[in-house]
Amino acid sequence: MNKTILEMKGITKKFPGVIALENVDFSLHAGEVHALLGINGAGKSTLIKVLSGVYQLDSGEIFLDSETIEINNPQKAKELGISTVYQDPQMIPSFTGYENIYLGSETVSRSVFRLVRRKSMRKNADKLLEKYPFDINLNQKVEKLSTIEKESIAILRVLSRENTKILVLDEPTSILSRKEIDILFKQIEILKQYGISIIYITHRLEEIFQIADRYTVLRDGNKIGTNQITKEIDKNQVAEMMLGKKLSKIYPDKSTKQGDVVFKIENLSFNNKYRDINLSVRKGEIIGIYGLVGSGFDELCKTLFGILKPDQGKLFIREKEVKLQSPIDALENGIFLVPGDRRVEGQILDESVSFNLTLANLENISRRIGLIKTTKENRDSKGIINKLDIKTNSTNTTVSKLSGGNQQKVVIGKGIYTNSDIYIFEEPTVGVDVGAKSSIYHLIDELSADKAIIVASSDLEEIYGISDRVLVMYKGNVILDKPVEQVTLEEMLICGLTGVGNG
Amino acid sequence: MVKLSKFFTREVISLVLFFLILGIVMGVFSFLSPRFMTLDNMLRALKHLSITSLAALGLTFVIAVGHADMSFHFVSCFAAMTMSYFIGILVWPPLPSILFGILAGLLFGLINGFAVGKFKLPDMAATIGIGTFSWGLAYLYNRGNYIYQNFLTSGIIQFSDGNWQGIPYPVIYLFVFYILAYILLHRTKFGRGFYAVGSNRIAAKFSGIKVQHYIIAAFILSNVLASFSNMVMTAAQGNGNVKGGLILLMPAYSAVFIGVSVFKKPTIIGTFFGAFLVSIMQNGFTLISSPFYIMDLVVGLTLIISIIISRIEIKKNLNKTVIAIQDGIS
Repeated sequence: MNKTILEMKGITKKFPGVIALENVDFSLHAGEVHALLGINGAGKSTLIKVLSGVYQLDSGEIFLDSETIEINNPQKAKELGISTVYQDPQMIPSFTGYENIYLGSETVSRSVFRLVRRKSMRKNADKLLEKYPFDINLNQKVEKLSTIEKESIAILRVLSRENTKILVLDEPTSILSRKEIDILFKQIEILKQYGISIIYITHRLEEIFQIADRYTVLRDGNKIGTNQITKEIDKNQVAEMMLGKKLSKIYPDKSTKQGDVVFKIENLSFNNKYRDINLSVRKGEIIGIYGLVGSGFDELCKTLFGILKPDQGKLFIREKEVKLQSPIDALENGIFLVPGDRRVEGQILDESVSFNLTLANLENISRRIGLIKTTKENRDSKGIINKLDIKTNSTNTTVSKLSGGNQQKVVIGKGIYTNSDIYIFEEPTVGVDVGAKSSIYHLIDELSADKAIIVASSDLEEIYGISDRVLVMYKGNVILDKPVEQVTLEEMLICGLTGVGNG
Repeated sequence: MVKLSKFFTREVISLVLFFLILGIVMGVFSFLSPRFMTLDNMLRALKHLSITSLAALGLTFVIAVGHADMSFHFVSCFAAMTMSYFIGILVWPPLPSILFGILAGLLFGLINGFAVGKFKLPDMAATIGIGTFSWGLAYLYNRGNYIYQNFLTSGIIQFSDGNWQGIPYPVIYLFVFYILAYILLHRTKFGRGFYAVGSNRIAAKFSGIKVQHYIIAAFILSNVLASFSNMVMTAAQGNGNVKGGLILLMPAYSAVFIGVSVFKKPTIIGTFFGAFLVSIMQNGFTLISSPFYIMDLVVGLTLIISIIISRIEIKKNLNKTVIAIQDGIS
C-alpha cells in the first residue's frame, strides 16, 4: 500500500534576496491524500510550482516511481502525469462542460477542415463520467455552473489525460461553500480508488482531518515535519508547527495612550462578503483584523474607503454619521486607505515619487486656479522622503525603480500627506523585505499617536505584533474580538483557519 | 563609460535622434526643391503646422488618459459644416458661426466622453460609431455639397488669412493653444489627473481623482480642438466641404506618437515636435509635387515606427512587473 510514487529531495529554490525553499524533502505515497500546510509565504506555492515545472529548482532531486526526472516546463510535468488544479480554474464561459474538458485536445475529423467532432468528444466525456461518477451535467454552458461544478470540470480535464498519476489541488476549498466542500471530498474519495495521489494545499486545518492521510508542514521555506493523521491529533500542535515559537523583535513596543472614539462602525454588511461588523476605533489605538484571503476584510476595508457601498449599517466619525459614496468622500472625511494591492490600487508606477506622494492631496500644493507650486511640492516631498526614510535618488525618480518596501512607503507617504484622522492599512507589508517591514510597523505605531488606525492582514504575526485590539474574521463574520493581551497566536490562528472561536 | 551612459539617458538619446531625423528630412527636401528653405515656404509650412498640430494637441489628452479617439476627424467635419451652414445658408456673421462650430465639437466631445468614460464602452468602436454618425449629420446641411456662399463676403476668410503685426492668425492660434495646453497638462494639478488616470485608473480612483471627469474632459478637448483646426482650414479654402477634416486623422496620431517615442509619454512639447516633423514632410512632399499617396505612405510608416519605438521601454517595465508579481505569489 505505502508505495512511494513521488520523492522530492533537498529541494532548494532561491529568488533574488529570498530563499523560498531550503533543502525541503517531500514524499507522496500512491493513492494517498497528502496535505501541504503552511502560512502565507511558507513556500507551499513555490514547492508546487517546482513540481509542476513553472519554476526550475536551484538544487535537489525529484524521483517519480524511483526514477530521476527533470521537470523543465509545465508541459513536461503533464507528460509525466503531474497536473495541478488551481483555486480559480480558467475556462471559456460560453463553452459547455465537455468542450472545456477537451479544450486544446479536441478530437478533429480527418478532412482538410479539421472540424471538431462533437459527438466523439461527448462520448469520451460520458466515458470519463462513467469511470469517475461526478454529479454534473457536462452539456451545460460553464457560465451557468456553480463554483464546485467548474472545479469538477477542471479536475475532469486533468483526468481526461489518461496518464495522470498525481493531482495537485491548490487551495481548492477557498471559494467553496460548506456543501460544495463535501461534494469535493466525495470526488477526492473516488479519485483515491483509482490510485491517483493527491497533494492537497490548504490553509484550513479542519479539512485535513477529514480528507488527508498525512500532512507536511512548511515554514519560512523549511520543512518542519511530516506526520500521519490520527484521531488523537492536536490542532494546537499543528498550529504551533505552522507558526513557530519565535516572535521576532521587528515590532515596536506598544505605546498605548488612547483618546476618544474617532471612528465607529455599526452593523455593517455587504453582499454576503461580511456581515454585522461592529467596531470602534479610538484615537491612539490600533485595531488589527486578521483573516484569510477571502474572509471579507478586503471588502470591509474598501467599504470604509467609499469604494464599495454597504447594504446596511452605519459609519460614524466622532459620533457624526457619514455616508461615503466614493474615495473622494472618504478623503474629505479624513479617511485614508493604504490598499492591499499596491501595484494595482496604490501607485502610479510610471510616475515620479513626488507625483505619487502628492496625488491624494494636490490641493495642498496648488494655487486656487490649479497651478502647481513646484517649490512647495519639492520641499514637502523631500520632507516625507526623509520622514519615512524612503530610499530614492531624488523626488523625480520613477516609482517603478524603487524596491517593493520603498514603493509601499511611497503609498503610505501619500496617505500621510493627506493628514487624515483615520488610517486603514490593508496587507501593509506584502512583498516587502524584513527590514522595510520593521520600519513600516514603527511608522504605523508613530502614526497611531494621534490617529485612529485599522490594520487588516492575512499575516497573523503582523496583526498580533502591532495591534492593541484584535479581531479575527472568518467567512465574513467576526469570530473573535479581544484586547491583544487576552489572546494567543494559536487561538487567533485556529479561529482564522477553522472559524471556531473559543471565547 | 559609466559617466557617458549616465549622460546619454534615454531622453537625451531620443532627442538627439529626433533632431537628427528632422535635420535629414529638411536637408533632403532643400536638396530636392530650392524653394523649400525660403521664408515664404516656411510661413506656409507654419500654417500647415498649425492645422495638424491643433488636431494633435487635443488627441494628446485622450492618449494621456489611456484611450483612443477615432472620431475627432469626423466630428471636425460636422463642426466645419455647422460653421459653413451658418455662414453660407443662414448668412450669419463669422464670430457666432465659429462659436456654433465649436459648440458642435463640444457636443460630440461630451457624447464620446460619456460613452467611454461613464458607460465604459470600448473606446475604438464607440468613437468610430459616434464619429461616423456625426459625419452623417454633416451631410445633412447641404446634402453633402460644398457650401461656398458668402465665404468671400462675410469676412470668414480672415479667420485663417488675417494677421496681427504680420503674424498669420493660425500661427497665433498655434502658440496660444499650445501654451495654454502646456500649462494645463504640465503645470496644474489637473494635468496630474490626466496622467494618473492614464497610467493607473484604479490607483487614481483610490487617490480621490475623479476619473470619469478627466476622460470626458479629454474627449471634449480632442473634439473641440480638431473642430477648431478644421474650421481654420475651411476658412482658408473658402468653402465648407464634408470631407475636409478627414485628412487630420493620420497626421494627428503620427504627431502624438512621435512625441511619445521621444518623451516616453504623451506631452505637449512632444506632440509639437511630432507635428513639426509631420508638417515638414507634408510641406516637402507637396513642394516636390509627389503623388498624394506617397505622403500617406510616409506618414503611415512614421506612425508605425514611432509606436514601435515608444513601446520599447514600456515593454521592459511590463516584464519587470510580471517578474515582481510572480515573486509576490511565491
